[in-house]
Parts: sequence; structure tokens; C-alpha cells
Amino acid sequence: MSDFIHPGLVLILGSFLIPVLPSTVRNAYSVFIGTVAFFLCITASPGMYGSINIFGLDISPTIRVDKLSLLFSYIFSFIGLMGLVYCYHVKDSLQPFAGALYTGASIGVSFAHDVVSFYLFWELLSVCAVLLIWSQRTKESVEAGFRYILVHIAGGLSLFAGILLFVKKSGTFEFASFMSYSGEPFWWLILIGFVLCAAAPPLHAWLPDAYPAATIYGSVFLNPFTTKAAVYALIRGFPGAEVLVYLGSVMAVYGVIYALLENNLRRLLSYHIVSQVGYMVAGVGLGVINLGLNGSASHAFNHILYKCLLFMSAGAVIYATGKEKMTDLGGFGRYAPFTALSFFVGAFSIAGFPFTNGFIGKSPIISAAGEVGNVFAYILLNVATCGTIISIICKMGYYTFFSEKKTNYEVTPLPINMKISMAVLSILCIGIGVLPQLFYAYLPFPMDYEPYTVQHIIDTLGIFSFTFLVFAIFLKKLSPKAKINLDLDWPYRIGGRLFIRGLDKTVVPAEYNFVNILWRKILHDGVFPMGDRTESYEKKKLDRISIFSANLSKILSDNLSRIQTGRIHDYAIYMIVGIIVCLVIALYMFK
Amino acid sequence: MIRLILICCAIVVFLDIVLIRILHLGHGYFTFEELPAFASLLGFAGTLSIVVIAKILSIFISKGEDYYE
Repeated sequence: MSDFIHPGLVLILGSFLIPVLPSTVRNAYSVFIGTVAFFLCITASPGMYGSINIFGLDISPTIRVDKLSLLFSYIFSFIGLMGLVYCYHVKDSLQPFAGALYTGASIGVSFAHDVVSFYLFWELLSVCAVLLIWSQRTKESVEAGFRYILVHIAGGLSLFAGILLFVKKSGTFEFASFMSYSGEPFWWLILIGFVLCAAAPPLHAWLPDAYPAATIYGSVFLNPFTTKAAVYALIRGFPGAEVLVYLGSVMAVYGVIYALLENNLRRLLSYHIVSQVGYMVAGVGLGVINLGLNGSASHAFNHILYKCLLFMSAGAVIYATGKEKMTDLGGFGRYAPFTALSFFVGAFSIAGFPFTNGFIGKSPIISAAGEVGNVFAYILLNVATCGTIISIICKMGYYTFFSEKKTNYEVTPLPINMKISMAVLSILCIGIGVLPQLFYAYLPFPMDYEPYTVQHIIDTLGIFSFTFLVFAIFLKKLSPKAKINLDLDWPYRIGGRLFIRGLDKTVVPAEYNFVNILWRKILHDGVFPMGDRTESYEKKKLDRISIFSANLSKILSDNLSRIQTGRIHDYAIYMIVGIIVCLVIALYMFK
Repeated sequence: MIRLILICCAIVVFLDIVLIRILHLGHGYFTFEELPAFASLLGFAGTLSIVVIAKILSIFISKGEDYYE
């Protein structure tokens, strides 16, 4: 590890200082280590580095720096830095700490070359996420955090089992494409571990459950790392796995349908993570051509930028008003034109409007579906775009920033650091959208692709204008309702409760009425009489032994006390006699 | 508002027909994309189906906010 300093380790080790520093320098320090890590990432040169000795295994190399891992490390470290700037004014030390640690762990995932260190960083991600969820310190967030960790432990165990089987089967620790083992049990186990973290239905419900429960700063940190680390892992491990095309396409539409029904701002955005990661998962499945894999990587990169911008804008709305339901908001654009502007930059980006980074990010994926000739993915991903436009630009934008005011909220002005990070991300969203080829040069695989073709722009404009038309027609029907929508966390939320209630009805009475009574019977009829009998036996027989030994020791000690005169010269004589006896024995032995 | 949107829709359909069908400045991946203004059609039908599916689904899944309490 001579010419490579691991930015992830710098952040992980550096973050442990954050809670112990005084509050005056704490946030400046956290931004400082965030900046250091970002510079280490952008100056890292490709190659293989490092070796570790862990659990008695010698593994070398442990760090792989190539174009794919660099692209992900750039965005992870950058967004970590932006998140730390965003929460610069926060007094709580847990959030910058967990945020920096989370960033470090995700950089570690992107640089890991062997499955062991990959797995360790991977598990650290879940721990940091739970800390961020719990930092809200409410009953809901504690419960959501527990559900989060239980789901992720299940996924982590599946991944761990898969990794163990993989190491046994292949005899290597290298984390590379698993596609040559396609269909093996461990292939499925690892895939399940990854797609759970990518929030693919039916294993996605942890995401919209937990992310809105965190603090507004926590959800800015939460949204880029776990799911996009999973996308990285899928690109690395499962390029061209066909099952992912269908999973991803369904995911993309599933997310927007739920998003359209949501009332809570951050839960709506969380469903959009499911939908957007669906594009990336589909892109990995289309990875039989470079366009698909590059599309996933570029979409992940750009998605992180605009999704964080959206979460920051939603956070700004919540910070300013204290409300996070559309039924309580409305007309907010009048009070905060800056927040509204950054929200709409993010919203048009996520929908993929031309000259935003969303357009150039996801175009390669949809084009890849066309090139491969997969009609299913092509249609579904385009329909998901319609759903994104109507649910985020139209519904969330209209009912939060326009429409009439629904409650009489007060508006707190935003701290400058929140505005800075939102402004930087807005500029990047537009900048990358305008200069796509500059960005495409950083993509991991060679490709020749131009997003701005006449056909593509016209198609996108057509989809946009007709989606707006549908929204205008259904404006009243789509107004937010003060409801929650059941998702697939229902089985374990209600199921868990029913399970305990079922135990109350079955096992508890059985235990009380049957096992308890039986046990009492055994005690009364068996154990107690037995005890009585042994007691009387002791009295008759065993007591004599103890009385005899007591008498014996009394006689001995009586005789011994006669020697113990208490006079010092008697003891001196005993000692001299003793020494002489010892000397005689010694002489006799060594003769 | 709705008039503005309708004008946009008309312009896009017009541009699609002129630039792509008549001047052949682009081509789709599939044969069904040869339909005039296919993307606009997809946008309309796709959004409509998402709205309808969501509305039907909401009958079954939308519950009061204290459902899990």
C-alpha cells in the first residue's frame, strides 16, 4: 500500500474523532475529512494494492482501482462531502459521524477486490444506515430502524452463505463476474443479497419504510449509498444476467405506481429510488452489450446527484415548515423560490428532460434495450418515465409548491450551508446534462453513444407533453390523500404482530395449563418426597460421618495447640530442629 | 394552463411527423415505432394506464394513517 491511501479508510478512521471533538470544530473537521477523501479519490491511480491477513487467511491484493470502481468512488466521496456540508449547522454529533462512516464504507465497497473485505464494508453500510435512522430519536424511527436491520441481516446472511460457497467452489477470493457460475445455488444466494440491497420487489419494502423515518440530513446520506453500492456490486458480479432485465423493468414501474399514491414527501421520493434503481438493474441485465453496463454506471452516478438534490429540497421544505405531507403543504414556492427552483431542477433531471443529467444518464439503458431487441424492457422503462414525470414533477411539484395553501404553516429561513450544497448539485445536474461526452469519457467500458439525436429528443418531448396532458385531465383525481399505502412490509409488520398474538393464544395457554401443571405434579409427587427421603437418610447415616470427622479434627487440633505455646524461644527451637532435619535429609539425598 | 399543454402536444406531434416521418432524421429500434408520433402515444397511454392501475390499487392498499399503530 505504498502509493495508494485508501480514502474509505481515511473516512472510517477519521470519523471516530467526530463525536469526541468540541461542537465548535466538529462540523468543520467532518467537512475537512470529507474533502480529503474526495481528493484522494480523484487522485487515485488505477492498479491493485494492499494485502490483509484476516481470520487466518492471507489475501492479496485487497484493493482494486479501475475505471468502474473509480467512477463510483468519485460520486460516493463527493456526495458524502455534500451531505456533510448540508448538515454543517447540526449540533448532533451522531449524524456527521454516521454520515462520514457511511461514505467511507461505500468507498470501501467500491474499491474492494476480494470478497472478504467487500463483505465487511458491505455490512458496515447497514450499521451506519441504522445509526442514521435512529438519529431521529422517535418511536417510529426506532421501530423502522429495527425492521431495517432485521431485513438487512437476512440479506447479509444470504450473501455471506453465498460467498462461503463461492470461495469453497472456486478456491479464489477475487470479487469478479459470477456469470460463469450462473444458476449455482451460491450464485442465487449472492444475487438475492445484492438485489435486496438494491430494493428490488418483493424485497424492497425496507426502503420506503426506513428512509422517511430518518432525520432530513439522515435521508440525504441514506439515499445514495446502500442501493447504489448494490448497483455497483451487480455491475461487477452479474453483468448480463437476464433475470435482472425483467426484475428491473418491473421495479421501475412498481416504484412509480406507489409514488403516485404517496402523500409523504420523502416516502414519495423513496419509491422513486426503487423505480430509478430499477433502470440500473435492468441496465445490468442488458449488460451483454457495453451500452447497458455503461448506462447503469452513468445512471447510478447521475441518479445520486439529482436524488440527493431532491432529498435536500424536500428536507428544506420540512426544515422550513415542519410539515412533510402534501395534504399539509401547498403554495410553498411563494415563500422559498430557491428551494422550488432546486426541486424542479432535480425533478426534471429525474424525469430525464433533455439538457439535464437524467436524460444523458438513463438514455444508454433504454437504447440498450432497443439494441438488444427487448420489447418488454423498452416499453416498461418508457412507461416508468411517464410515471416519474406525473408523480414527481406534476403531483409533488404542483401540490407542494403551487396549488392553494392547505394549512397555515410558518416558514423558517434556510441556513446558508444547505443552500450551498443544493446550488452545487443543481449546477452539476445541468452541467453534466449539457456536456454529456465529457462525462461519458469516465464511464468504465468503451462505447460510442450520442444521446442528443433528433429522434430521442422528439420522443422525450412527446412523452413529457402528453404526460402533462394526462395530469391536467386528472388534476382533481390525483390530489394527495391523508392515507398510507400498504406495501410488502405488511407480512412482517402485521404478520409479526399476529405471530406474537398467535403465540399468546396457543403456546402460552398450553405452557400455562399443561406444562406448568405437569411440572407441579412432578414436583409434588416425585421430587419433594424424594427430597424428604434423602433428608432422613442423611440424618441417619451421613450425619455420623461428619460428626466423626469433626471429632477427629477436634482431637488433632487440641493436641496441636499444646505445641503452640506462644513463646518465641520454643518456636526458635522448632525452627532450628526443622532446619537440621532438612539438612540431614538433603545431605543423605545428594551423597 | 390546459390550452398551453395542448399546444405543446400539437407542436411535438407536428415536429415528429415532419422531422422523422417525412425528413427521416431518425429511426426507432422496433417496427412499431414507425407509427406516427409513437412516443407521444406511448406517453399518453402509459401515463393513463399508470394512473388507472394506481387508482384501482389504492382501493385495496390505502388505509388510514394510524393503520400500524
